Amino acid sequence: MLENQAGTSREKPLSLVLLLCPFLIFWAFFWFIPLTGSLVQSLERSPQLSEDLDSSKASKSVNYEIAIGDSKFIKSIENTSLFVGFTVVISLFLGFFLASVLFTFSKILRGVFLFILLIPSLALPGTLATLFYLFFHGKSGVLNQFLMVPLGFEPVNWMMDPTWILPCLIFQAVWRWTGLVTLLLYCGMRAIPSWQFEVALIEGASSWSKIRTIVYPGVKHLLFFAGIFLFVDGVAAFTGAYNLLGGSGGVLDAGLLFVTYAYQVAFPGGAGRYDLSLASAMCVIVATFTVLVCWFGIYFYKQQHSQTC
Amino acid sequence: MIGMIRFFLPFFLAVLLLLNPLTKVGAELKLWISSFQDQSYYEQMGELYRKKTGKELEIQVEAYGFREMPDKLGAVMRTGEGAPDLVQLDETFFGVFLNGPSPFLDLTNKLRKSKLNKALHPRRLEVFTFNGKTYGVPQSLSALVLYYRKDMFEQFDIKPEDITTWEDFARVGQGLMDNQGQRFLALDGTLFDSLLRQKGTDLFDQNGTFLPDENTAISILAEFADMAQKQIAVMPDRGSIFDPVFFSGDLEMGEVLCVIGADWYGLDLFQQFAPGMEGMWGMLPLPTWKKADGSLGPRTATFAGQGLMIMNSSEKQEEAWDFIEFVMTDPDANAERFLQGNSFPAYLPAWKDPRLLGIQPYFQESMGKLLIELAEEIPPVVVNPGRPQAIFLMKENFFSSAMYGSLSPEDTVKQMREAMKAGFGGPPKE
Repeated sequence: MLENQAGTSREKPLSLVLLLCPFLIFWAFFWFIPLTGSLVQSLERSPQLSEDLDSSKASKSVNYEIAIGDSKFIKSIENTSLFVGFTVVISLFLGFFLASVLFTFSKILRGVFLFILLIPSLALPGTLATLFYLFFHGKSGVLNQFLMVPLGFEPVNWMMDPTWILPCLIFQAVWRWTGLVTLLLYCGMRAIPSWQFEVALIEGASSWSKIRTIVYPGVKHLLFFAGIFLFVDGVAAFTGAYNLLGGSGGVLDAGLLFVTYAYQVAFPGGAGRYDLSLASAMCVIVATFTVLVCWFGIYFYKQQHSQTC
Repeated sequence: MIGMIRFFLPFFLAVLLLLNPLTKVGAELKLWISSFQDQSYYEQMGELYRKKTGKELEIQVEAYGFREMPDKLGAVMRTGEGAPDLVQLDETFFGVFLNGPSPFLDLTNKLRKSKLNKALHPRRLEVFTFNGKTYGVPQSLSALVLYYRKDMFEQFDIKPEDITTWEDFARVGQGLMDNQGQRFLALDGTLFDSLLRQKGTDLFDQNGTFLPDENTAISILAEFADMAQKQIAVMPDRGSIFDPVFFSGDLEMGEVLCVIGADWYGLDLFQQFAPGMEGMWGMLPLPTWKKADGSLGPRTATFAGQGLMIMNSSEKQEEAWDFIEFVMTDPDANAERFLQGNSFPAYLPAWKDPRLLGIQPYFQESMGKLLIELAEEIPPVVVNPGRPQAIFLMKENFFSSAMYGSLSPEDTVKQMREAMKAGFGGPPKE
């Protein structure tokens, strides 16, 4: 019997590896190899670097030094941080609110509203961005025609006014993802054992108290998951901004997101440059930062979770 | 069994024969173009070439977007895989490929031998020439004209002959704004580089100095920013006059009366994106500036335009050149390029062809005659590896900022200098 058990445990790692093989192979092909390639490329001397560049600077890290000293790169990081921060906070807050409201609806209404809310996240980002382009488009855009002008305000040039460019991008991302976040949180709420709500009802707990003590603890792991998902998606955001701003960062680079800038640096069609090595260095910096933020987030979440448990 | 083999063997051999590349007669050239509209033109030219020369040559045309093609070319250069034999590249992207060894074949000798160096407009040949070597053969003249709404000019009693200088233009525009609340001109960041040349300078000088005449650059920005702030001239919503929505929105709604564009702009974009406006638009020389001696400056400048290049990596360079030479010199090939809404050719002997001089149906006037009249005035372009980046920076960032007053003309130029330092090719010379 014992021998048999030992044999099974020995076989386990092998079967686990076999089971994970398809994933590991795809991961290696589509993630590990390109990432390693990017890292190697970032250490190469860019063929576009001028020969008059100070030879002392022509070290392996020259692309990293140039990236860190590039004000447009810094601007793109600032914009991306604001974009991600606002998108995550607003989407999670709205998603939680909508899921709580849907939780109280009848079965049919819940289905209808959830489907409506999910439509934006099912649409292709390019299609969605084109739709938003018409939405924000100058005087004839929906936002000005049906909101600003009827309310007596002057039409706003949403995509050309630096004050409004980033909020427009955030609005677009929030609209896209809130439905999905709502669905996730709603599923989490449905998984909360009903006796908890029954006890709260008997105890006469207020709505706020129910949210604080039952609903939030029941879905906080999903909130965390959605937060990480939105964070990674926000850092990698490109199509929406590209379609709205035509590949630029807009007036005064007010909407210049990181991936847009990496594209501008890397490819001739981006902005008349062709510096793959520098763009790789920028990507490595941002990828490292993204991994670190996610890792710290998971670490602190686990710490907090173990304390509360 | 043997019977079955005997039965199927002839079919098997026939299939093998068909699939064998050796059975293909003649060469096959892979041509990448950066305009979907040009695909049928080049496919037809392949047929015309076979018909007129009797040579067996297959042209495999792959069309990509305007920005997509240089991106693909960049990827090909990096990986060394899948390069085409021929590329059609816009002059605005040409400079990107001038850092390091050129991926394009030096055509200087071929042009000289075929005498195309004399037969193509010299100003256009220069845009594909760097350090004395010509790498591309220009397809279009790309001379800018002022497209104007004939019907609305008549309605507002504006006489085209009253607009000779930019000063006249601003005056007429001011009157139009004051009396009718009507905007006059649509702006685009790409105009800056052409306006610089119209005023006698350029983005770079021959030594590679960026914005060699800073005062002129500032004066142009100030003049147009003033028009923008008075609403005489406006930036379209996404800051581009090349956007399809600009045609269906701003132009069809009558937001502006004038737009500046090259021959390909009128032949290709107007007809493609605003087909319902046929007969409403006319063409005029660009307003200009007076020189110090009081004479008028050039009434045009060029912007963009495609050229044909042969890749260094191609194994069929002679066949590729033969095809280029045919497309550039054949009277039908030149006429079709114009008639199919592509561009007005830069090949001088073609300018006598009545098909190019006749009434253009969309504009209901002769585009060819106006372009030929302006061709002598085209100012030269200084080619520099940093030129594409400078054009894009101005278009995508700085021009709108200056027009909206977010940046003063002086700060625009100052910040643009800084931004150029971040680009490739090292810092531009001050």
